[in-house]
Amino acid sequence: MPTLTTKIKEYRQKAGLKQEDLGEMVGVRRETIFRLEKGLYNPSLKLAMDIAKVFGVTIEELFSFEDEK
Amino acid sequence: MLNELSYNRMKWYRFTASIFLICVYILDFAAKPYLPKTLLNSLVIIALIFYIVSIFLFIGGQKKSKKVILDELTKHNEAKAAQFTYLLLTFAVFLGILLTRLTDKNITLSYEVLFCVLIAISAVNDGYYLYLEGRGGQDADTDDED
Repeated sequence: MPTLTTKIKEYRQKAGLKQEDLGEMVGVRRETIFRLEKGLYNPSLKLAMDIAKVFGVTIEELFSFEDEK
Repeated sequence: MLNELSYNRMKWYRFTASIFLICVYILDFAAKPYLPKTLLNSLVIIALIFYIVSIFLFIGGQKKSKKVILDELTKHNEAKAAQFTYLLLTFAVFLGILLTRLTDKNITLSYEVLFCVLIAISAVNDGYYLYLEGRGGQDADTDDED
């Protein structure tokens, strides 16, 4: 089954944001951002769109499916 | 203090109070002849106050705090915890009915037993929620914060 991978951490670090700052910007807790970055939680479409909007990218650029080997 | 009280902390307070209440009730059942009734009553009252205060502190904190307290992950974990609690409760009720049928006895439901069941449901729900929160976020604090 393919797993959802994300580049949130990469974009966040590029933007110089802390997990807490990003969380505040999209209305979630820091723990949620942490889990998203670690791939432990799949976000809702709204949250994914909100995060993509913060970085000015599309959802496809931020999230991708990878086949498990 | 109100600004600092997170949902998880409120859950911790409530969970601790529930476990404390259950322990007091077990003590009341097992050691009634050895302990004074007033001591047991005082312990129940203390735990109940702790339980209720933790809920009111959380409600107050939610209104005052500007931080995000509840988000979709909270709801996701809450739903999982509720599902687990419901399953466990159904299993416990089924087991209780089965045992009474097999032993040909009756279940007497007093207010105290009902109260204990409710507290146990609350404890299981809070405990499983805290487990889910802690499982993925154990090293959250040690993550690089740039």
